Amino acid sequence: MKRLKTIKLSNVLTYAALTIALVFTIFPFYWMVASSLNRPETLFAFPPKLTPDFYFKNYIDMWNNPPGGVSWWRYIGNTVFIAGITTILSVFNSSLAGFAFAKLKFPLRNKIFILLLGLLMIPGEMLLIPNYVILKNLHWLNTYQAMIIPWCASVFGIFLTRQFFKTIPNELWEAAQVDGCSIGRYFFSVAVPLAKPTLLTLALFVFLGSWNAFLWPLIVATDYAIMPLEVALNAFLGSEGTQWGLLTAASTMATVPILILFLIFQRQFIEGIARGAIKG
Amino acid sequence: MTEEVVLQRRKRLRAIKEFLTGYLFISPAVLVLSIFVILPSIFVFYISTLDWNMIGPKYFIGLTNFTNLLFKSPYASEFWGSVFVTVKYVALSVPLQISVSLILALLLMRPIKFRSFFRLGIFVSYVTPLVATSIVWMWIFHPDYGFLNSFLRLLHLPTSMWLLGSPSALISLVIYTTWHAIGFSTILFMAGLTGVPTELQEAARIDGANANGVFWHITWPMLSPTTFFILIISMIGAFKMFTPVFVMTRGGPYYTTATTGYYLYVKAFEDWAAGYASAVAVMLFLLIFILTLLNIKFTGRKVFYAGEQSRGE
Repeated sequence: MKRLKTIKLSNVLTYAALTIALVFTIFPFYWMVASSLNRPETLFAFPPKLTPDFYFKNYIDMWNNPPGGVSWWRYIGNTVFIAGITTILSVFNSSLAGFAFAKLKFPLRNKIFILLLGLLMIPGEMLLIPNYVILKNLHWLNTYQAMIIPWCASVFGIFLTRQFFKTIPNELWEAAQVDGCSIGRYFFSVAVPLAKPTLLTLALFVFLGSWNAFLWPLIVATDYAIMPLEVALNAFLGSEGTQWGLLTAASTMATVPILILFLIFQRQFIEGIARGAIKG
Repeated sequence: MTEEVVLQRRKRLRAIKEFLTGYLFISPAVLVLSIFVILPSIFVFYISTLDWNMIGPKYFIGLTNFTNLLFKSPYASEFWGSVFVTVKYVALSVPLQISVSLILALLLMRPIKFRSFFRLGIFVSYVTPLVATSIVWMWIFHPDYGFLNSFLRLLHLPTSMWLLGSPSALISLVIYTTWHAIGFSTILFMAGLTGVPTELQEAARIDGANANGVFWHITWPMLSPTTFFILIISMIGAFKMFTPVFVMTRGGPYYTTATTGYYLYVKAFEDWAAGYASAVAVMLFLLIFILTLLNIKFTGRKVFYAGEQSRGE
């Protein structure tokens, strides 16, 4: 009887602690949306009003005052375009290489793979200046490719896909060869369909990384016409520094698509984090 | 006889085809990584020996940039100041993040209802964009109208200047980054905890160990690779940290939040001191290299940032 009671108490404490943590992580999102729907005078009210006014004019004002005079559509479009193309190219290139490192025999295969793994130790900050110089010499500053091409292959992606392709039994490949199947056809019609879950996880992380990227586009995209949303948001903070209704409206606009994507693919995100860390 | 020759020739042909295809398959990725990772990581050492503003002529000055940043003020005081800020930030944020996320992971591993709901809610902030959420937190931290001070005022607790004060600005950054990353380390701890054999804990419990004893003598030691991994990637992350500092404080007030990652950016892309900033980058690399080696030595893991654009955040 006594034991039952202590279990219940510890359960109550567990739920209480988790609820506090949940409020800490979720409340800023609620406050972002609530503030974006509040009248200016409500924003400065004390005590703070927890329920929003549903005052949508903040969104209209925000939408009509984009930073740099280019429309928000443009910034959203830039981000979607850059993140989309980067994801497609990165998943394609990484899985091709991952497949080759897992399944094909060629000279120096393992040496090249280990060299690539070694690249993981290089912090991106070290590459900022030389890459900026390289892009400048290529006349790529203020172009889309500046934000796409450097990211269209990742060691993490090669590593992740190689791990998966190694699990495909060799008999499958031998059987395909007997049927006269080429390596390319085997890759596209057998290996890739089998790897779909892994490729989806990789695609999600590349997309997320590209959507949320800030430092690199801040440096290479100073031209408003090709600016992605995160950089435009920073410029908006510069131009509307105290208009918290408008600022939270813009933040909501940049955050909600990622929240939706996360809710749809939460399992892949969470497993991807756990797996990327464990298998390394 | 001839049949065998044909067969062997076919086999050799297939092997040649396979290795050509192998090179073909790895070539796009290798090309991209060569141009944008390998080449620049060599190039940066060269730039670090120059006095150069990225436009004008290059002057070779040997190791002067390094001796400046290490020994000669104002460079040395700025550089070491940024290292000191980063170390202070690590000292505040890492123990907090590790203890909170470990507690959350332990709680989430208990047989509770709505586990995936809690896990989802605690993790969600990790995926959200840094600039957008930094703006939201600037509003929450607002000294006059921010939610945090209003809340404290309601409870009759002392308020703070948060991002505008010192040392509260650094503490505000710690609160923000803890909020952003807590789910990440919680997930890692949960993964680590699934690796701790339950039989061991059961056996200890049967032998009369209480929950406290089981934790400190079994779970904690067995979890140490995970803990060490999180410790190291948090430290590396601290030295690289840029976006929240840039958006929320610009290193202020009085450089009290100018971390090394932010200092590097300012020197390179506001002062256009490419040579000097490259020397800072090389120092940053050496530091992270040492931390990574420690990590591999103690946990056998390569450091991953799970597909984040870690080349430049």
